[in-house]
Amino acid sequence: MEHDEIVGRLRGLNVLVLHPRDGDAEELLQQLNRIGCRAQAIWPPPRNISDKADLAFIQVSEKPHDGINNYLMLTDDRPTLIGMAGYESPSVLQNLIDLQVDSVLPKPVRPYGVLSSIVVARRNWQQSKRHEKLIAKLKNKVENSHKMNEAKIILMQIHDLSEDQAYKAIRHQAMASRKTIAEVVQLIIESNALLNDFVTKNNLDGGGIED
Amino acid sequence: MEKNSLKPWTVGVLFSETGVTSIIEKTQLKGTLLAIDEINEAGGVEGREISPVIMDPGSEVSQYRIFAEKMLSDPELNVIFGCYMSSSRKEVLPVIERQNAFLFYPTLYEGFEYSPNVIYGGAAPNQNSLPLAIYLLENFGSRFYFIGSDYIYPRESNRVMRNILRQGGGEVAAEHYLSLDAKCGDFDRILRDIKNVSPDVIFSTLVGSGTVNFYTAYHESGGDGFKLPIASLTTNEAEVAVIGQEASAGHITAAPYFHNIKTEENKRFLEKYARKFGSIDEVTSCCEAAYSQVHLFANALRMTGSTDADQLRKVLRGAEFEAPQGRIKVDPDNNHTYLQSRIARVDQDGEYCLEREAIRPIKPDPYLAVPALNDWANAPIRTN
Repeated sequence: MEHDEIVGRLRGLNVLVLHPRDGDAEELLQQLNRIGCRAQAIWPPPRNISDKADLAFIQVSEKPHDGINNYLMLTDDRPTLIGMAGYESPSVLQNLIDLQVDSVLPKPVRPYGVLSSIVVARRNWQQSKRHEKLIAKLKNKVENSHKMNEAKIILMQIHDLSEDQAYKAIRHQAMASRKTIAEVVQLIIESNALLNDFVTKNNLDGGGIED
Repeated sequence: MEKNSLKPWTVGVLFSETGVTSIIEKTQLKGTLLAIDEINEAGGVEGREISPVIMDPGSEVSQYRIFAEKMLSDPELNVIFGCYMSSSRKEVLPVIERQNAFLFYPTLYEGFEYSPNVIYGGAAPNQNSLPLAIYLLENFGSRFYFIGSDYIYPRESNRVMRNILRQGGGEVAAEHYLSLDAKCGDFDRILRDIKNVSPDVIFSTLVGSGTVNFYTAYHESGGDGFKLPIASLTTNEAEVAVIGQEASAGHITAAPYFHNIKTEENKRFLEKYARKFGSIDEVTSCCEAAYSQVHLFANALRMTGSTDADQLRKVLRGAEFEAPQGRIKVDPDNNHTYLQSRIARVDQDGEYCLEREAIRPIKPDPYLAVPALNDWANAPIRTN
């Protein structure tokens, strides 16, 4: 199903070719044209972004290219990247790794293989995007659950509540004050920190720390 | 010097005269040889005749590669006419590309290929599947029964058909694949299933002798083409001649060419064909494509004076030819061919009768992954 979408949406892709205008770039553009993508070749790489590309073919050689690095820094939402490499020497391979390309198109470019490299790259790119999203979501969840525990413990200690009662109190407060549970939890933790601060400071002012 | 200048142009001709796909490939062979005869009778190219080296791969996929290699080991031979099934083309392709040779491929196929060393002379799915699907949806209903031979073309063909069907609100009632040499008895289970499922149309992508066996078995089981037709892209005059008029009546085919279309070029073509081979019963769209491709080649050769692939490619891109089907043109974007699009139905006498046709050749779009219903609607059609 997922695969169907990648193949089905090929023609809607906005493709950028960041590669010097030579025979390889020409061969690639012609094949992209046959496939039916909207393709554009720009060299040197643009210094600012006017059109957002879904997918970019980038030249990868033995040394990093400032123009390409600069272009990639400009894009906050990373496009799908396909490295165009003419050598398989370790320095070229390292650059393929460093640039985090989603797939590779070997040079000299032949029409056969362009489509496969696009499809594999899109699949990898989609998957890594999905994973990034999922990880962010899980991180957030773990963090919230830590905070919830912390807030519950504070309430349990101060007001001598059971865990269940503490949770209900937080939820009630959230509803009554039209805030999210996460916000209320945050407030409880912050207030508690503030109060603790006071106590610690008073103690210091009182002239000593009890062991 | 004199002797050397009269040395013929040697070309390879690679079609199966035996085996499962020989019915159709023999017609391609004859189309090729007829065109070569014509050219030679008219004085050849630059006074040199075209001389074919003919080999029969016997419908064995690996044999195509072996023979292509053998042909190309002759330094004078750089051009091959041949291949029917995609699997055989895929075998030959690397050999062709490695030697920068040239292949003329006169067969409809599933698309998604481009080689600078191939001229594709048959229909891509946007030129035949799409028009056929729309015609069937409009005239017969939306429940399709898919049956095909088990290799890439039928599966891809069905994928295209399924896509169009979904857009048109139709459904695939069933989908079955059989081996290339399926016998009459192998269809029993399927024929029973067709009775149960009761679809609106049967879409067959069977090729080779399986086709003949299926139509025959369908007829013997009481199937009637006028009630529940079998629609196909691959069944044509050669198969119908073998199946017989009774068993093939009512069934439908989409192709760029049918041998009873009325053009001056077709009349001449058929007359010459009859003179050379006796009967025109087996003249098919694949035969016509093979014939036209030899002429495209000869015309190109007149301009280049060489069979060098780089030179041929330059003059073949955009080349036109007044073919029996009407004017055709090699698309300079993708080496496929602008072709006519026609749909015909076999009548009581076993002759294909034109049902509808596009009024001008359709541009090939070999990389069309998701065909849209309205693609064809944009091409004006003529209904008979």
